[in-house]
Amino acid sequence: MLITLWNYIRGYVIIEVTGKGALRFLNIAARGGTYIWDVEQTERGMCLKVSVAAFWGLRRHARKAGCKYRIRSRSGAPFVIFRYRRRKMLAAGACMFLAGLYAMSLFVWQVEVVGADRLNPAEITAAAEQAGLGLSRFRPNVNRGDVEMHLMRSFEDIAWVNVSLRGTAAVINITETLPRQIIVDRRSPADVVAARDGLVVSITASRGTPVVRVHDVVRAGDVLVSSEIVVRDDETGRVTDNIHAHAQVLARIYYDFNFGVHYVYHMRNYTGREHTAHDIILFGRTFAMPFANHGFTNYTRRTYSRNVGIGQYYPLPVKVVSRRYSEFVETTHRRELEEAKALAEAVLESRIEAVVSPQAEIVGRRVDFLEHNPGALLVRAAVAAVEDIGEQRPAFGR
Amino acid sequence: MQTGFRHRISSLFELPKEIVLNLPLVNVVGNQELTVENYKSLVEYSSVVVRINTSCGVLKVEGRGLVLKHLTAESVTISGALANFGYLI
Repeated sequence: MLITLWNYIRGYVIIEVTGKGALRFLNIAARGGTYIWDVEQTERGMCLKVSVAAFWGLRRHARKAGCKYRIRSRSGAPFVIFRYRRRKMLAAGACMFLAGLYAMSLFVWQVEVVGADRLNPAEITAAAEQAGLGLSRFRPNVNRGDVEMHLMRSFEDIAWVNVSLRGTAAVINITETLPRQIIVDRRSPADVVAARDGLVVSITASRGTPVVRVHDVVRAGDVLVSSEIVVRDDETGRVTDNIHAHAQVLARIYYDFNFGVHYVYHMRNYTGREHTAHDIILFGRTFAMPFANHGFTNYTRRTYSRNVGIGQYYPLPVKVVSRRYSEFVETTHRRELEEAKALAEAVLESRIEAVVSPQAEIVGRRVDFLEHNPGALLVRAAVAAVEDIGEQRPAFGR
Repeated sequence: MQTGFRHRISSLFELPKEIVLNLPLVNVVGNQELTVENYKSLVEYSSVVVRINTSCGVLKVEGRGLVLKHLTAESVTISGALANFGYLI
């Protein structure tokens, strides 16, 4: 790749060598220090490429080898420049383009945050902007040390930060601190309260005094196991203490589900016809490209965007947004009662999974299908689950 | 005699044989490319056969669509669909 580019910059000549001494010509030229490449056999002899500088020395080699050669074509930058030597405005435009490209490469056009799992990358980018590193900022003015210091001060969860500038792209590498552990202070008094409504099924209290019994109906927030314990209760008086209560309180909770499954449904059959339209976003302004009209009545649209740049490290403030339209034909179908019931079961399963805790045990389930509605199968379901409803709450924080 | 002495020297000091004994070094990349370093001259070239003169005989390369990709005084690189190659002794 690099050699090809270098040859193109230097300019090269494709010559055809004919005659009996063509092979000898190759040997003499190679021994004479001429770099020859892409030698191919042709009907009359062979074709080869040599640089412009080496071409001038070939005449004596050909004379010595007793063969002839002629130029088939000329390629490379010197010949292109020579061809357009009179077109001053083209040269001026090319120079202006290169100057513009150089000017744009002096600004930051992309800020990337790497390593942010818990932290929001947008917040880090905003903080970096305050410290002088942001989009369209002049690159030499960006002080990486200041940005790193500002980020370290702004976010407690950053353990290490490094800002690197690669071309027009800035990369903020961060390492987050370890997640904070939730420390439960078991010396402070706490009650076990109900996290939600339910019918108490069992209580297993390891610390504290239960204040509800099995088969009691409790509401969310009710105290289930009190932190208050009786240390002594005799003729001298009643002495109590408050401890950090701990218990497992299982309760039966009822969940109701009501939804309908329509008998008539629509399907999209894609025809395979697609159309792609492009927009160019330049410095925040959107320019629509021609041929955007797709002419489809029913279609889905998917949007992709990509930044334009020179290689990986020189993104430019240009973004190409492509919209791909896929045409489809809508067909109407009707499902039978059994199909509707099967679908309703599947929907119910997914809703139970979404609502009921994974640790809960489902102990009862009743599903009623109401078929009186001609448009849809109505589903009325009740699910009973047993789960731990106890949660700790500070005793004196109420 | 001289070659035997050089051979012993290269074996003793683990020196590269192609330098000490002035032998060709042949590198083959799959069946697509073959490079011969330290060759003497090209004997024959066509799109199906290339013969290269070396210090230890003529190296014959056969294949289809053979092209001399690079040719310098030190090395020659042949690319194409290589079928077989060997020395003509």
